[in-house]
Amino acid sequence: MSQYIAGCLILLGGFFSVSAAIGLLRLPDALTRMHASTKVGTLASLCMLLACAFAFGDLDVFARCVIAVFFLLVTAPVAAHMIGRAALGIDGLAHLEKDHQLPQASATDTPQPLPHEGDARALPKEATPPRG
Amino acid sequence: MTPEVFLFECAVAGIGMITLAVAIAFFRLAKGPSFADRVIALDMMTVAIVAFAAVYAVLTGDSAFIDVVIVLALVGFLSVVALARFAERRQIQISQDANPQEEHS
Repeated sequence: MSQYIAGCLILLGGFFSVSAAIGLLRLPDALTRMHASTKVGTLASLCMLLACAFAFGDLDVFARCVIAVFFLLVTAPVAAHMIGRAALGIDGLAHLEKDHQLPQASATDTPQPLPHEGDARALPKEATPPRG
Repeated sequence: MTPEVFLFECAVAGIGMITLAVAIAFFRLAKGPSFADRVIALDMMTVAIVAFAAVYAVLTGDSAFIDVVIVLALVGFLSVVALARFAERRQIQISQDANPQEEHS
């Protein structure tokens, strides 16, 4: 019985990985492609590792599969956050300005990178209120 | 069809589907217009190979491939973080080279 469950989980994970690859190929820009590619990180790998735990039926293998699933679930949001921030800095919201015609956006502006904690020069100096 | 034969057939089909996904992701890695697209494709290829190692452990009955899964997930995460930091720093450097008058030293 556990072999049937493991086989169905492997087929389900293969379906998710193929659909994520099609999304990576067909979607229009970097952020929507990231939306597609995170499916293979969570759903496909989860299904495959769960199938592995079912197919072996061993406590040792089950513990290692749980560790791998936990590690994937912890690291996926961090990696997605960093890629998304970098993609936003590279694209510079150019497609959003083009699609939705933001009023303050002009076509000659060069895209500015997002300010982050390592780059104090990107923050406006006047933003800090005077003390006292 | 015995359960073992069913599991073997499903594992072979799963390996075929993951190989197709890795091939499509490699096409995006080679073609991708921006640097972020390439990093996303590389991330997806790493996680797809993680799933491949899990299915290969089922196919061969060798549980040592689960250790490969754990190590590959760690290495993939670190490489993606390093590439994302590199992309951000390179973008800041490019914008500073384009507008040198905005640089406060």
